[in-house]
Amino acid sequence: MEEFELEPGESVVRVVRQHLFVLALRLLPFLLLALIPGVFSLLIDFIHGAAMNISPGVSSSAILPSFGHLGRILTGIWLLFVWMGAFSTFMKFQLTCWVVTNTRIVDIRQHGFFSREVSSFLLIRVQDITTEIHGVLPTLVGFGHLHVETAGNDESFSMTGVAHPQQLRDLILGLVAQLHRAPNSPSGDGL
Amino acid sequence: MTTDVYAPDPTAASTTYFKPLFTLPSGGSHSIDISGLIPVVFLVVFLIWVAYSLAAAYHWLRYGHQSWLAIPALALHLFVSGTILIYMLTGLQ
Repeated sequence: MEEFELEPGESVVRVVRQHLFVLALRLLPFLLLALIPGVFSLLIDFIHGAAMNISPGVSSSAILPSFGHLGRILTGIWLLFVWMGAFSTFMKFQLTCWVVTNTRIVDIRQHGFFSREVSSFLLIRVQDITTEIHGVLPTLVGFGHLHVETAGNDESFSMTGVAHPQQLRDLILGLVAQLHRAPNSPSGDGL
Repeated sequence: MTTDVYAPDPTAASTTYFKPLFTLPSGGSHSIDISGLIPVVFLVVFLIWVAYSLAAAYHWLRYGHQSWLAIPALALHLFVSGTILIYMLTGLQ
């Protein structure tokens, strides 16, 4: 990978991303924003139709001929920026991931354009892993937070909105146990 | 003596209804012609879109190179935004 190099004997166990439901929640505001021009057009149609004492909705094309060209341009500009915002959200979702290898966890976060953060810590230093699932939707859909605390310098590491955090916790704890059982483990447990 | 009966034409009325968007109420020499401004606005928006698309393609191709989703995502972006731009172009005519 370009962001980090795998050490000899190191292999990628799993690449974790946030749950798709989290992406859907983040895209929902953009969907609502995309509906605004249509609602605005219907509202103008309704108000003008009521003012002219005619049936609203029927005369949409007749009422807005002069607004049509400018309305298309304004609607297009609005939709284009809404789309770009939604696509940026999707890009951040896809390019943000956690790579779990058999020796460490690499945290790759895409904050935005030209803003990327890559950090990693060794699994051998993991002391405690906590999973949190709060709320009805996270419980039903199956996503939550995972906090990893390391021994020593009060370092902590969080994964937010990951799918099935309990399974991920078990996976990481299993990898940590394997590292402690290894004969050349730095912790000395395997000696 | 004849009396003119005013019968509102829906089409004509709508033009008057939206006229304040384009001209000053007094009209005549105070009218604002925005026909020359619209292509400039379109050009600015198009340039912003080009810059955004280049930046997005750079990130997808550099950081998402191992994901099969990179090319379909960029294709989706070009398709959707291209459709919106074509829709905007119909407003220029």
